[in-house]
Amino acid sequence: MYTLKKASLRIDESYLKCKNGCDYYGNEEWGGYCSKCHWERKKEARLEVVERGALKEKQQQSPLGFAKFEEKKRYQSDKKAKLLKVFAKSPNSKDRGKPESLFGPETGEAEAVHAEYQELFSKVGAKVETDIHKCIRSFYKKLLSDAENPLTSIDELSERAQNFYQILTARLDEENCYRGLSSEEKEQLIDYAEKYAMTCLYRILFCPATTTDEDKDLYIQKRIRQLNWVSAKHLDCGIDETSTEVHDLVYSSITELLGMDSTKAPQDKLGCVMRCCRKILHLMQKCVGGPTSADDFLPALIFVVLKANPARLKSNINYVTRFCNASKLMSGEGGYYFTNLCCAVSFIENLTYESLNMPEDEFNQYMSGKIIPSGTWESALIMCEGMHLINENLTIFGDLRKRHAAIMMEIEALKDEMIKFQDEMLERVSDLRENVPLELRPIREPMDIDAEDPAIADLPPPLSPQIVEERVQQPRPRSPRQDSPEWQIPSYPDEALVTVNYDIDLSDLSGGEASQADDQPMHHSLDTGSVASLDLFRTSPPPLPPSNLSLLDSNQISPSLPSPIKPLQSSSSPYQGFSSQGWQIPSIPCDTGTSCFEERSQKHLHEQGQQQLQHQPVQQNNVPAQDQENSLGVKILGNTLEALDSLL
Amino acid sequence: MSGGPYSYSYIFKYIIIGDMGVGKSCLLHQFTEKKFMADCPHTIGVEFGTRIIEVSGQKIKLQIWDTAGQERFRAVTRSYYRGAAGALMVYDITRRSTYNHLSSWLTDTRNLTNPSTVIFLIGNKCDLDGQRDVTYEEAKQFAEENGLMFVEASAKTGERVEEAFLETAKKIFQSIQDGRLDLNAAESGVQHKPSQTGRTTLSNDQQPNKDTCSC
Ligand SMILES: Nc1nc2c(ncn2[C@@H]2O[C@H](COP(=O)(O)OP(=O)(O)OP(=O)(O)O)[C@@H](O)[C@H]2O)c(=O)[nH]1
Ligand SMILES: [Mg+2]
Repeated sequence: MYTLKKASLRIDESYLKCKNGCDYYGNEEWGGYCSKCHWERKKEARLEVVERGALKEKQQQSPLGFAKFEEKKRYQSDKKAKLLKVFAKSPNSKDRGKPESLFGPETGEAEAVHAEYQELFSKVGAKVETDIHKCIRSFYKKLLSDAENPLTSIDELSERAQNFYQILTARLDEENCYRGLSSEEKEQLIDYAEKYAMTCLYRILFCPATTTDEDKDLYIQKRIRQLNWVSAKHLDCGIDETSTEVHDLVYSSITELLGMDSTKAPQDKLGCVMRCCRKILHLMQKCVGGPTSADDFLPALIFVVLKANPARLKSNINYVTRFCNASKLMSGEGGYYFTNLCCAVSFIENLTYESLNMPEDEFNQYMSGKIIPSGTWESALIMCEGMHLINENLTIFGDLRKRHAAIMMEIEALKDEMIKFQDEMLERVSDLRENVPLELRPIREPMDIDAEDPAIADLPPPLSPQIVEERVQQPRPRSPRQDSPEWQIPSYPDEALVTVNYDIDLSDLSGGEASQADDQPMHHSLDTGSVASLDLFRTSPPPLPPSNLSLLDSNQISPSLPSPIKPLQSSSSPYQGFSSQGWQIPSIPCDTGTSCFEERSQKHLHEQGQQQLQHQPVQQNNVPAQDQENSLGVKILGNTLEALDSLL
Repeated sequence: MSGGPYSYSYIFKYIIIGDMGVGKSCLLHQFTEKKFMADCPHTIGVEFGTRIIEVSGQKIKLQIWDTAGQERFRAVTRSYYRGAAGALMVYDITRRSTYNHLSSWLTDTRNLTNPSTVIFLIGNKCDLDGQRDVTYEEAKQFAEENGLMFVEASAKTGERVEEAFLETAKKIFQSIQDGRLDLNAAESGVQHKPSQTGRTTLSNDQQPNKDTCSC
């Protein structure tokens, strides 16, 4: 294949194979030979061993097996012997720690690789782990010192790495500590060694300054950019550029291929190529609507490579070719896809107007950028990005809507709660209203009785036995309402009777208070109220001069009495039975009664309000957040529109 | 392009980030080729370019990664932030939305690079002053608030393009000399190559040649 100078879209499967005709995949790096033949040829040249031709080597069935290793050992250069000696020596050396300690800046990544294989090591045991790390370390050290010498070519380093894989393979079959491992486990161990060592050596081995890899990268990057106009039609690869489903598949295979530059281990890069190619196969099945031929695969791969323009393409291909375990590249799915990728790249490098079946003029005009193609792909790609943005914004909107709904629900809940709170409050207030007038009433009792008192003092005892009987029955209802004319008109000098009446009233009151006074603060305020009223009751039974009456009293009873506004006068009156404190008191029950109620209800309101407030900050915070989200939504919508605008 | 191995003593890794179509690829092309690419296709994933510059008598190779502005390649481009010594954050002075997105670009950069990474803000397309949508003062203030260096440049005329790339390199070089940037750290974005005197002079001759021919 690589001998072909003209790039052709349709290539025979045999072009992918080794020039020697063996069944392995060839590679440009290896002059069109497979890895095995390539290295054999090199060794032959160097050792000038004429008799051992590549043909004989090729016939060996297990190229990487112990037999080959043995054979190599026999005629190997002393360089190889040295390498073996390092291996042999390392078990005796004292440093048994993990190789991480040696591996400089990449330690973190190396540890990640180690962690990835933790399961394997728990199966194979610590002895195997120690031994394999010893091998890796000696290889690492050797390669590092070789690489530091600027005269060592990358090919020599590559050969060293390939030798390492082979020797390690042989060692796994040979050494005691590996006995009893399944071939699968051995393979994993070799993979591990490759991954570990290459991750640590990546900085030195990838795109080294001693090679022209970077220039080649820049060249092919520019070339692919120039070939931007090439469409699926030109390549005749059956990819439908107008279907969105196809676009998505092309995109995802492009993304896989782009991932190649971000990984470090050769096998991981190979993995990216494999995933990309599998997606292309899937894509072609979508386009063709059935099984696809291998013939169609290469053009599709070329299309994807052209559209992806993967970063450092040549460096990546060369790195994999040089440092991936050759046994992986020579056969199997990975080898097949990788060889195809190399073909695609070489097609792109050598592409002419003939390979695309178009007139030379047109091709040149496209290449020089004189004609700008009506690139369906390019515009589709931008449309795709637009669609992608729209979809993304839609999901953001969906999320916003959900959060908005949640906020609205919370607002509703808060509203309900507030209404409930209001109702509750009103209920309590009306409850209190019903109860509190009872508290106010008793204040009037002393006035009624007080009003009677002056008259009583002047009158002769008016009672006759008959009337007394009637009176005894009267207080029984114990009604607090003493407005009844029956009650007011007759006057009773009998103190005992009056006291009894007050006692009852008092107990009624305190009972009512106690039932209401559940809260500590309320209790306190009520207590003072009741104490005040108690004082009053005590002082009220002795006859009082009219001047000691409260404002209310005077209004009700006799307008002829001196105004109670001058209490000082009255206190200087001959009356002594009332304490100096006493004259101030009448106003207290009245005031405390109402203020007490007010205080109480205010306090209550306040407390509940505070409870409410504790919830409120949360909801208050939500409201601006909602605002923010709305404005975010508007912003996104604006951006989407803008994106659409720019597309148009 | 580069004058053989070790014709420089440092490699600095840069990334160029910003919305789609702000002119990242054009800036890179202007810097490496001194030409304006009028019909630049959209970048898929990442592209890269190199140029050797001189700071304080030291040859430095800039390895510049031009990322795709498209959202869907964000996963690919994010892996290039790691180990960048310099980040050029670009917006288009004629499109306000590209300026508005800067804070999210900045967050990404701060999260994915190391603290010593030098971030340079470029307002591109300053040749289109008539269509200006973002004022210089506003962007300058944004840059100051976030501790970024800032210029307005044009990939088309080449105005102040060099300045942006070179000032970034100077700042990085300063950090190395101050010891703020650890050369041995894996993600520092700077590699030190012992320069070989013979080859350095060779590239000294080459550099002017390149400059004259591409102008
Ligand atoms: N007038 C003017 N146009 C410019 C300038 N820089 C870039 N452009 C134009 O802007 C368009 C987009 O430029 P690109 O460099 O491809 O943008 P990008 O940032 O690389 O875009 P993506 O690769 O999609 O992320 C091109 O058509 C350029 O011609 C400039 O300084 N002035
Ligand atoms: Mg671009």
